Order: sequence, then structure tokens, then C-alpha cells
Amino acid sequence: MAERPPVAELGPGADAILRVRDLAKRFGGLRAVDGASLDVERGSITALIGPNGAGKTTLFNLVTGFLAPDRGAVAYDDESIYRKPPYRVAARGMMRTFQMTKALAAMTVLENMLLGAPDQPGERLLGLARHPLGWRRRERDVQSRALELLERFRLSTHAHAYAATLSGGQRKLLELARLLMAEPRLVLLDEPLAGVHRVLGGELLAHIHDLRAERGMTFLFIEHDMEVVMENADRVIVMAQGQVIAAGAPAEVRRNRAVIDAYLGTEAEDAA
Amino acid sequence: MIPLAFSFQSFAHADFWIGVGIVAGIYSIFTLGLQVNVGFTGILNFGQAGFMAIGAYSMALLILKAHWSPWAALPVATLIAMASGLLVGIPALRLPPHYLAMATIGAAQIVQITAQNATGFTGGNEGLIGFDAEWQRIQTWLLGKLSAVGLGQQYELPLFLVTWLSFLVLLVVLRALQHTPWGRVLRAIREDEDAAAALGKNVYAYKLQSLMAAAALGAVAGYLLALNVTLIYPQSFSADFTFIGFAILVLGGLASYVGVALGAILLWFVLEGMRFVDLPLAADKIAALRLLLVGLVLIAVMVFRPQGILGKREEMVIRG
Amino acid sequence: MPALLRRAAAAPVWARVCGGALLLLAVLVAAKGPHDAAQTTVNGIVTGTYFALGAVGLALVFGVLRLVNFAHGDMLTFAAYMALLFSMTLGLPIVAAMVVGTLATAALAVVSELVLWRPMRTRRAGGFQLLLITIGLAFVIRNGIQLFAGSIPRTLDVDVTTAFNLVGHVRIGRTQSIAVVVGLIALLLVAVLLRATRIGKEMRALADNLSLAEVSGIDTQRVILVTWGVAGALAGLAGVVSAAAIGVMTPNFGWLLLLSLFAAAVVGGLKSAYGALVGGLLLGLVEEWSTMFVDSRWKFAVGFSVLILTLLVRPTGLLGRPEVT
Repeated sequence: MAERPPVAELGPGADAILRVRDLAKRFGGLRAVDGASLDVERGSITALIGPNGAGKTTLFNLVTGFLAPDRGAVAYDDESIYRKPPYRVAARGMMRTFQMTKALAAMTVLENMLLGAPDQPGERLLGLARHPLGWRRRERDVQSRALELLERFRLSTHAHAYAATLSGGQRKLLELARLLMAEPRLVLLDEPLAGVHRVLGGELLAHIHDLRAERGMTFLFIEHDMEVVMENADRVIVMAQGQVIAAGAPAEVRRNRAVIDAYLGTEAEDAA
Repeated sequence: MIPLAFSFQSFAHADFWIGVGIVAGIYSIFTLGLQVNVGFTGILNFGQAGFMAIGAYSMALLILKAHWSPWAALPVATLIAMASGLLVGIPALRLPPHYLAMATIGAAQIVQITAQNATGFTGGNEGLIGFDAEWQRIQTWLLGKLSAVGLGQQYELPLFLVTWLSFLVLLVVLRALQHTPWGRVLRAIREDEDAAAALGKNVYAYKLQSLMAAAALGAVAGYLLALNVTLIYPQSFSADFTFIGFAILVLGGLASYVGVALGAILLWFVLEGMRFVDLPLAADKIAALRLLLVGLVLIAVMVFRPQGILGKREEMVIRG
Repeated sequence: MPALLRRAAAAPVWARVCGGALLLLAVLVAAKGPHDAAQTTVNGIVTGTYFALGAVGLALVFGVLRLVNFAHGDMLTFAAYMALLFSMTLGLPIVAAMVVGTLATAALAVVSELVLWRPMRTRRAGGFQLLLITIGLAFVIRNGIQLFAGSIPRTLDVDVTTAFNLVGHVRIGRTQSIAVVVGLIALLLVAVLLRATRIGKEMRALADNLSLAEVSGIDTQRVILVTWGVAGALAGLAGVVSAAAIGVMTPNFGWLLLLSLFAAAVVGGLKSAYGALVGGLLLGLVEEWSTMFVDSRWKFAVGFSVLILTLLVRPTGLLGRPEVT
């Protein structure tokens, strides 16, 4: 295996909220992720791009604990989260959305939001027993916060409707709003605009910029639309065939030979 | 003479239906456990009869061999059943649904085979008797009270009342729990455990709690079954019991605790009502006919109305 | 020594499993003496043959449909009772009746696909629904048989007494030896089917990746139908063979075997037909070997324990490949 120069790692001076080193995962004969290394700068909006099958979603799954890596290292806020179960990763402040949106359709929009709240003693049986009044109070607080967020995301009229009744774009907004209840510091978005109406997509992106400006949140998103990437990302990381092949400002990456080859290479395969 | 014959007839019938009501009540409590697991957490527990057996045998052994009072034996036997739920759950709940189904059936079968073969301990196929001395006293006392209202001849009525009272209490508790944040997390897990995990919920721990709750409910059903038959023997706790429970579960409707009672009453009144139809069949064939009916109920509900009677279409989101 | 172990660890899974089994046998010979070990091994091969027949059918259905068929065991019972029916009421010679029983079970499986499974797939029924339907079906078949034939033990009109010595005092019944031969031939034919025929390759393609198979122009409905037919035939053969080998049958016997069949299939990696074959033989051997140490009434518990142990330690089975997400 050729040694890859560290293209996506930031210097030692940089403030990286997420550091991935030499992460790998194979399924039988398929090397889905093959020694990927990257850093994500705190407070940045970073795009993760690459042709289909490059391993982007697999990388997300490995980093957030939904899939167990074969080897490598992952550090969030300088603490290792390598092979930690997904709920622990989420509880530490790194949360994610899914390619196939996971808005819970059989629950109401408001219930979805309430689910997102951390520190609700009523979610534990012991908590119910020990804080019989406390959890109700917390529920009321959580509810008002949820309604505020729904207001901000323009979903409050749907608060008591089943999430199943929302459009695809609205569900993506709900997924984002829901995880904001936990006040994460790093959010991984897996194709947040896929199948979403332009207008709602624009709203989603506007929210991302606002959240970064207001709270210093960091966003890493997988995206296929290069226009969206050019307009919104501070930094772009490119994956192909399970490895990170380039990183930098959007304009640079667009001109990068290796990146063009990777995309063209896939096109040539498709044409063959 | 004739009026006396009629009143004896009607007594016999009333007694019969009270007996059916007891069985329906026992199945209702048993199936409450399945509802917590399947309808509210999305885990396929096919080993519920095993937990029932563990509860019943533990109770009887504590009373008979360790000479405990039933008032101490019952809670401790329930804890033992819950511990067995933990023991089975810790490895089994990591598995995908169809493996979990196999593992839980396997565990229940091991319990049944152990009960059959560890004859020194469990009395083997002949089972255990004599654990219900305290209950007999309570029953006599209750019958005395019932005599005051003219019902002193319905010997099964005390157990019927205790069974359904227990069901109601458990129903209230479970419904209350469903309306808590804890219940909300369970529902999320049922629909999509990855979504719940992505929100910071320890899905595995919740599933364990759900299974332990079901084990406790199975144990309670086991005590009532034991009191009804006054004998604890392995054949009562077969896999068939669990599958009849599932038929009740889907008939009444997933995610509906009240539906459990409805399903149990409906199913058992039909099954037992068949006794009044004069079928020229031997006993084992009549038993087969009843179970055949259960199988048809399972198929029919799943094919034509999977959400059951009281279930909602939106609730049909069990991952499979 | 370490070099030998390292080479052993690097050998293909097949070799490791067979090597492990032989090693175990050597230990048993040392522990219980060659006669007991050999006799139980012979018994184990007989049991293992019909375990393998049953388990392969389970694995084929699971591989193609991702459905765990809880009615599979009762299909074994169905075949045995069909054979009984045809030999008793229609006076067919027992071998012909057993063939009819096998074919009837294949027909039952095919009919169930056309009448039940295919419409449910069209309606996008969930896994839970399908699972419960298999359980309902199991109840219907099992109790339908009991309704008609009663619950008293029956026997097929086979020779249950003639036995001969293989080596020394190690004996095998004549019927059982025929059963083993027939079973192994059938398994061989299935292996050839899967490996060398077009339909077999299509079945393997579906088991590997259903969506990919669909878009590559394979007529999936036809392949599924054939899979059910083959699985039904295997279950049927397993049923008549086991009824003949065990000697008695009750309406429950297939259901009681089901968990052992699950164990065999899981050990082999639930999707893999070859794995189920090896798993079945292994499990048969293990269950029979266990009778040297514990009373034979615990045999079923051994089967369940192997199932649970495998699920705990290595759910993908000794021979299976990990699922690609």
C-alpha cells in the first residue's frame, strides 16, 4: 500500500476538533475505508466530497461508532473515541444525521424534539423513581426549548403532527433541529440536501451558517453538489477509494489533478 | 326438581366461564410482557414462557424447600425471573432480530428441558405441589366474604378477582410508564434504534430493562397459573404458550395494553366456547383443532390486519 | 510448535473445522475408548445426515429471502405423515410412499410461495409479519397433522430391526445406512446444483446480494420459487429419512428438531448452504458424542446449547462470512 502524504491533516498549531488517523474497514474483499486520515478544524464548515463508493458514509459510521473499524485512531476534542459506542460519542457532543433521514415517523414532531434533550432524569427508571417531580419540571423546560427551536426552523405549526406527515425536506430540518436540543459542538451531516426542495435546502444551509456564527459549532457535511460546496464550505476534504486524496480551500481542490482524476476515473468506468 | 336442575346447569356454566376468565387473565398478564417487548421496544422475545417457568418454579421451591413465606417468596421469585431476563438478555440482545428470536426460544426450551429432567430438584414431569397453602387460606376467607353477597358457591371467583385485579394494576402502571420520557425512548428504539443511539440513548440498556420487565410480568402470570392448576409441571410452560401469547398480542393490537386484554378474552372465549360444540373427536384431536385455530388467527391477522383490532396503522413500524 | 499452530490458524476454515472435529474425536477415543467413540460417531453421522438435509433447506430459504422459516420443522413432519398416508391408505410400497412424501412437501413449499409469500412480498410485509406467519403456519401444519392422524406415535413400514456390524461391534441399522447414503447423495446433488447449474448460480447470486441480482436481469421470482421447491424437497427428504432412522414419529417430531436445525444452520453461517451441510453433520456428531457423557434425554439441550453458544460467540457461524452492511 503506497504511503499517502498527509493531505488533510492540519498543522500542530491548528485547533482540530476531530482527528482521524489511518482509519480502515474492510468487508470481505472490499476495502471500504483504506487508511483515511483527516482533521476537521473547530468552528469550520467542512465539506467531505468524493465519487460514489469513496467511503464517505462508511467513514461517518466508523467515526461515530456505528461501525467498528479494523484499525486506526479517532480523537474528538483530543479524547479518543475509537470504537466507542454511538450513544457515548453522541453524548460527548459529536452528533450526526443519516443519508436516509431518521425522523421518527411514528412519533409527533414535538416528541422527536423532546427525545433529543439530554439530561432528562425521566428517561431512566431510577430517575423516575428518584425525581418524581423533577422530571416533570425538566419536561416542561425541554418542551419550551423545543418549541423555540421548532419556531426557528419554521416547523412549529407541525408540532403535534406525526413526523410521517412532513415532507422530505422538513424531515431533514427536523433531524437537525432535534439534535440541536443536545447542543452538540460537532455535527456530521450525511447528504443534508439530498432529495430536498431548493428553498428548504437553502434554509438548512442558512441555519448551519447561523449556528456556526452564534455558537461556534463545527459542521462536516457530505455533499455531491459542487455549487453548494463552493458556496458554503470553508474547507473541502476529498475521498476516493477509501482514502483521503486532497484537502484545501474549495477553489484549490477544484483544480487539483488528483481530484479531477478521481472523478473522471469514475466517469470513465461508468461509460465503459 | 326441574328448577333445581336449571339452576345447577347455570351454575355449572357460570363456573366454567369464570374458569375461562382466569385463563384469559393469566394470558393477559403474560402478554403484557410481550407487549412491552414487541409493541413498545421492538424486541422479539420468544422465550417468555421460560421466564414464567422460572418465576413459578422459584416461588414454589422457595416455599417448599426453603420454607419461606409466600409473601417473601413472591417478590424474590420475581427478582430471580428478572435476573434470568438479564442473563439471557446480556448476550442475546446484541443479536439481530431473527437470531434473538432463536436464542430466546432456545433459552426457554433449555428451561423446560431442565425442569423435566432435573427431577430431584424440580420434581420432573410430576411437578411440584403444596406451595399454595397460604393461598388456600386467603381463598377461603374471600369465599366467606363473597357468601355475604350470595356468590359463595363460585369457587373460582377469588382467583378470577385476584387475576384481573392484578392485571388492572399492572395495566395502570405500564400505561403510566409509557407516558414518561422512559417510555418515549422505548418507542424510539422500536422504530429505529440507530436514531435513538445517535441521540445519545444507551439502546442496549433500555432493551435489557424491557426484557427484565417482561420477565417480571411472565413470572406474575406464572404464579397465577400455578395457583389455578395447584401444580407446577414442565408441560405448562411450553413454547406453545408463548406463541398463543403472540396470537393474542397481534389480535389485540401492537402498542395497546388494553388490546392485550381484548385479544386474550376474545381468543379464549372462542377456544373454550368450542367445548359446547359437540365434536366427535378424541381429546388430543380437539386440542389440535384449538391450536390449529390459533395458527389461523396468527396468519389471518398478519395477512389481513397486521395492526390488530386496537392497533394503529402508524404503529406498524416494527423493524424486521 | 508455535509454527505449526500458526500454519493451522492460517488454513482455510474448512480444514480448520474438519481438523478440529478429528481432534475432538481423538480426545473422545482416548476418554471413552474406541468402541463407544466409534458407535456414537456412526450414530452421529446418521443424525447428522438428516440434520444436514433440514439445515440446508433452512439456509436456502434464509439466503434468498432473509426469512427464518419457523415452519420448516413441521415440513419434515408433513413429509413423514404423507409417506405414512400413502403407504397405509393407498398401499404404496414404503419407498414409493417416501418419494411421494418428499415431493408433496416440495409442492407444499411451492404452493406456500405462490399463495402466501409472494403476495406478502408484493405488499411489502415487514419481517415481523412474515416471521409470525411462519409460526402460524407451523401451528397449522403441526396441529392439522395431529387432527387427522392423532398424537399416538406411528411408524413407517420400514425395517427397524436389521442391523449389521461395521467394524468390530460397531453397529448400524440397515434402514439407517440406506438413509445416510440417500441423504448424502441428495446433499451432493444440491451442492452440484448450486455450483454448476445456472439456476444454482442465480440462487447464490440472490443470497449474496438481492438488489444486485435484481438489476442484473435475473428472474428473481422464478429463482425464489425454485428455492422453495428445493428447500421443500430437502425438508421432505429429511422428514422421511429421520422418521425412518429414528423409528417412531409423532406430530411434534419435526418441531422438536427445529432448534437443532437452527443450530446447524447458524453454525454454518445462516446464509450458506454448504455451511449448513457441514453444520448439520457436526451437530449430529456433537449431539451423539454427548450421550457418552450425559444421559441421552439431554441430547436436545445439547443442540440448543450449541445454538446459543454459537450465537454468543460467533453469530456469523463458524463457516459464514460477515454480513456486508
